[in-house]
Amino acid sequence: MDRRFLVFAFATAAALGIAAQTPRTVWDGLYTDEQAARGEKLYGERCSKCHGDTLGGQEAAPALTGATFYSNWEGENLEALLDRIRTTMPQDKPGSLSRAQNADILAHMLHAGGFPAGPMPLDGQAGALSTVTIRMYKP
Amino acid sequence: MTRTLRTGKVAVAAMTAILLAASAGLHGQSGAKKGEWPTYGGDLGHTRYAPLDQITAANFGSLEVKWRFKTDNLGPRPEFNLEATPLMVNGRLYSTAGTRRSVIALDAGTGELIWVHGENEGARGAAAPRQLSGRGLAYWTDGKEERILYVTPGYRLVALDARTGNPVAGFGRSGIVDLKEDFDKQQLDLVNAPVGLHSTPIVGGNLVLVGAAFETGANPKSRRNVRGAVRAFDVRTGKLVWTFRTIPQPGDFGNETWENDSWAYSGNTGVWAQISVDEELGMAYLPVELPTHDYYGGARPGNTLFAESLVAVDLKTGVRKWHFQLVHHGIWDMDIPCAPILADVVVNGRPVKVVAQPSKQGFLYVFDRVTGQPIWPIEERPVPQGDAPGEKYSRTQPFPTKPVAYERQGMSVDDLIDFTPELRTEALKLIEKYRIGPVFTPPVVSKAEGPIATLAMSTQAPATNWPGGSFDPETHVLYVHSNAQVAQLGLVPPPEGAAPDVRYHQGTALSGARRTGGSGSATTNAQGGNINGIDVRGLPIIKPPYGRINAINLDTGDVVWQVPHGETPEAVKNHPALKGLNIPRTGRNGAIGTLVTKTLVIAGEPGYGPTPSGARGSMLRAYDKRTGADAGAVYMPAPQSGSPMTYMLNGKQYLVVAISGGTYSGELVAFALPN
Repeated sequence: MDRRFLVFAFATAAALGIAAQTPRTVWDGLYTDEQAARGEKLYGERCSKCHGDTLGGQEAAPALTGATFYSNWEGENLEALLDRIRTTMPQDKPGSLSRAQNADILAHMLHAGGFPAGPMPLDGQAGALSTVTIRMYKP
Repeated sequence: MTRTLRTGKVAVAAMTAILLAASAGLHGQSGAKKGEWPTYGGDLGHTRYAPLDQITAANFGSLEVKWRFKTDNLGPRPEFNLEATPLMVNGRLYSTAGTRRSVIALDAGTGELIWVHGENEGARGAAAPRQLSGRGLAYWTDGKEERILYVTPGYRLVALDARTGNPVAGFGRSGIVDLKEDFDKQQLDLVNAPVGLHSTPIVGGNLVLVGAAFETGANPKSRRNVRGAVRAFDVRTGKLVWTFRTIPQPGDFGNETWENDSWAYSGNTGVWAQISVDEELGMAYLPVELPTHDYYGGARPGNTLFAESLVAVDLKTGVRKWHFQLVHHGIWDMDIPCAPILADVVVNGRPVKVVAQPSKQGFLYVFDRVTGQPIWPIEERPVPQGDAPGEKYSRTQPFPTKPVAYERQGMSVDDLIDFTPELRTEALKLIEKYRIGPVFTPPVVSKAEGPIATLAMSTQAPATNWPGGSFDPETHVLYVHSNAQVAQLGLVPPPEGAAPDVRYHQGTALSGARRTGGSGSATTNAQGGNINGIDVRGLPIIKPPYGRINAINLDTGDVVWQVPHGETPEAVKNHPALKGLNIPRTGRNGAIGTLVTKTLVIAGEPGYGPTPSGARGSMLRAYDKRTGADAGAVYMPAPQSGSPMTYMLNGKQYLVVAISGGTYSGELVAFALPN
């Protein structure tokens, strides 16, 4: 096997490994403003019917921001939240949104939750958010 | 479709037990009998009481999980909101569960699945306004046959053979009554008509009673909607026996209370909460919701009977015996959310059969359930008026003089957060642009410069919600969970494209017109940034307790004790502004049902929070029912999402509770003491 390839492969694996193990939180600027804006539009079309325009929840669906929501999700990883959205929502047509669309909606939720935007969009690919911890207060 | 996984052995002993049960009468207002739990509320009066005493304060902490039943694969995807209270009869546990609201029969001792029945309703199920697994089901027997009855998300009443799970051929059409048919003379689209029901049917006097639920009513698509009505069907045949119109039509009592002929087009006014039945008196008690539009009544002037009324009807005929309207011309979403509790008590030395109604507004309304007379005077008092164009406010509202409201109502400066002087100052500044006032302060037309909205507790963000309360027939004490949380009641012009016959939508000038739903409940963000601006640095604008259990003596009308329910939430416990402060247990917000046993009141904490071991989860808590003192707690991996029930089987007391939420999908968990 080409030695250069081996070196490259090891370096890549190491980099990925480090990235995968680097603990991050929702305070680390994980989405872009543009993505959150896309998510807000989608949220209005597909989610607000039950959860309310301001993510405040209503009789039939819980709030998606605020003290109760973040108390409930404190310490969970962001992948779990994305998965919950991806597999069960919207309730009238679960699973009908793409991973990218769900990531956009999650970006909107983070924006509404007061978490900072950053230079890169939220990655909705499987596993990408598993090392991101939900923390309601900045660590 | 039913899958029978094991043929239950119908031993002679079991059959004898069935016959004994039938002859003794399964239902009453004195709690669950014979160690079973045969109806959603323990009995037909929804006492949620069982006189069992194996599990006590001395051993509650040593409870262990005996079995658990995961509901993920009952539907095409897992469910995260399992709200059912199971039934237990003859050693079998029955429940609805899963995203298609399947019915399961389990071995009550092991949790082993005996049979499962599910209905794939396709487009009709997908269009249902009230989806998921619902609150549970009903059981009926005549001593020979045993049946399970439930309502599907698509609004069909199904009767199953309790032994096999097979639909009962002689009931309706092959075991099913289509509830969208023969519905108070309305021609409904069988697939898309937005009506359903998530509460359970109730069986009394060989009739099965069914209400109706709709999409939530913050911003209706039109002032027109399907009308609610309550119907009774013959439990043997499924034949319609009577219909009680909750929106009286011309010639009906109360029709004139719908001014401008608003009876002709208004809808909703259903009974989505649990109905209670007194078989001995031959009466049913119907808790009715709002008419179309939860916050603006310009299109339905008048008191609009039987909206937000408790209605007593003859069980056999459905004819109204009495009614009491709890809220006139409602614009606060104070629909009656839970079962009327039937209680036999002694007031001033006189035995009296009462019905006690917990409410979103934090009043407990208590009536003689034979006559409808209030046990303690309920006074019509003037209430604050509003100025929303086109609205016609009721000048007075009914105020119970006893018991006192068991939860805080409306909003005053005394309710504001006071952990530190700085937080209180911020709260005072924050509310400057809002209207506050006592209970029944109406919503405002929202303006960015103020008033942005009316802030109020115990309205849409309810004191008590669908789980309702419990009653101890021995001590005559009623227990009910309540929340203190703040809703924003604001009105805005409808967004572009909305139906022209709805003049206002609910929302605020800050958040804009809500596009579709929207509740206006307290909306905060994580770190003190504001969306709607009524939290203080992410903390609730009100001081605790945020949730509690209340004990009220129905002989005297006195509040016996109140204790915060639920450990202080993470959002408060770890808040940077509260470092170094000793915050006593605050309780938490949630829809929480209680269970009463011989010595305990039992309820799970709402939501996730800190647990003693540090593990993510929630505690199932017990209180000394006489004093409210802590009487033990046991860990659960997810919060209570249904209400707990209990039963005895082979000498062992079981506690079963539905848990779910967050990343934890629906599960029934059975606790019992170690062998």
